[in-house]
Amino acid sequence: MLEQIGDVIYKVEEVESAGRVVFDEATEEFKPFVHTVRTHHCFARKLAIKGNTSTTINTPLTLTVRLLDWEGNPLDESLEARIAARGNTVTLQLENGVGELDFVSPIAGTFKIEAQADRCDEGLLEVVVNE
Amino acid sequence: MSSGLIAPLLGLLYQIGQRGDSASTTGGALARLAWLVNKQDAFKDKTPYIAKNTSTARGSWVDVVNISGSGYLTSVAAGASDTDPVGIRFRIVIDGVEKFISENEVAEGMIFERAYIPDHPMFSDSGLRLPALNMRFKTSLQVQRYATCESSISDICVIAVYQLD
Repeated sequence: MLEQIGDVIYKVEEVESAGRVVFDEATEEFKPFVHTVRTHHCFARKLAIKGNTSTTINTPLTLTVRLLDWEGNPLDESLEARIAARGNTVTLQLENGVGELDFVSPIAGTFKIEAQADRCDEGLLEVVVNE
Repeated sequence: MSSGLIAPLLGLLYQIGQRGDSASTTGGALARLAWLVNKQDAFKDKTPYIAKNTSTARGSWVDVVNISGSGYLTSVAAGASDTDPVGIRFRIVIDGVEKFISENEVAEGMIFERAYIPDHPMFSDSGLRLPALNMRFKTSLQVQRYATCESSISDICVIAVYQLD
C-alpha cells in the first residue's frame, strides 16, 4: 500500500507482532499487535526528459524536461532543475513545468543525461552520439 | 520447554476465574497465556528487517524508515557511488524524541561506517561493517538521512536494520 505524506510517497507495510499482543474489545480476544512500517517509496514529483535518443557529432539535439507527479501526470509548477551529463552540469528553469535545452557533443559515445531538482525524483535519458 | 510451568499456571488462573467476579478479565488473562504458549517459539525468531533507501536527493532530510510500533534499531549505514566526496548525516528519533543527530560529516565518519553498499548488502564484499546500536523504541522510530555533495549526481544508499517485537 502506498500513502502520500507531504511531498513523499511512502510504502506502508503492516507487520504482525510475534510477541506483543493487544486486547480487542470487540471480540474480547487478544490479538497480535500490528506494527506499521513506512519506507520512502518516491517523491511526489519527478522529472522526465523527452527527446530523440541518438544524434551525430556537433548536431544539436533538443530535449524537453517536464515536471510530473509521481504517477506521470503533468504539473505546471515552475522550478529550477539541474541537468548533468558526464560531469557537466547546467541549470534549466522550468516554466509551467516545462523547459527545453539543446544537447550537443563534439565526441561520439553514449551519454547518460540526468535531470534533478530538490525533493524530486530524477529523470534519465541515454543519448547515443554517432560519428 | 516451559509448558510444564505454564500449564499449572493456566489451571491456577482458571480456578481464580471460577471464584472471582471478573470472569472476563481472568478469561482474558487465560487467553493471553494460551496465546503465549502457542507463540512461545516465535520469540526466538525475531527477524531483522532492513529498510533501504537509494536516491539522489540531497540538501534535505529523507526518511529511511518510519515505524509505528516497538522493537530495536539495530544498525544504520550509508554509502554513495560517486567520485566526489559525499557527506551523509543521520537523524534518529525514538518515541518522538530526537535521540541522535550527526552535526557534521566528521561525526558521521566516527560513528557510522561509510562504504559502498551494493543492491544486495548480504553479498557485499566491500568490507562493510555495521555499527551495533541496539536502540530500544517503544512506540515509534524514525531514521532520516541528509546528504550533501558538490556534484549534482550522487546515488546515495542508506540502510537501517531493525527488529520488531
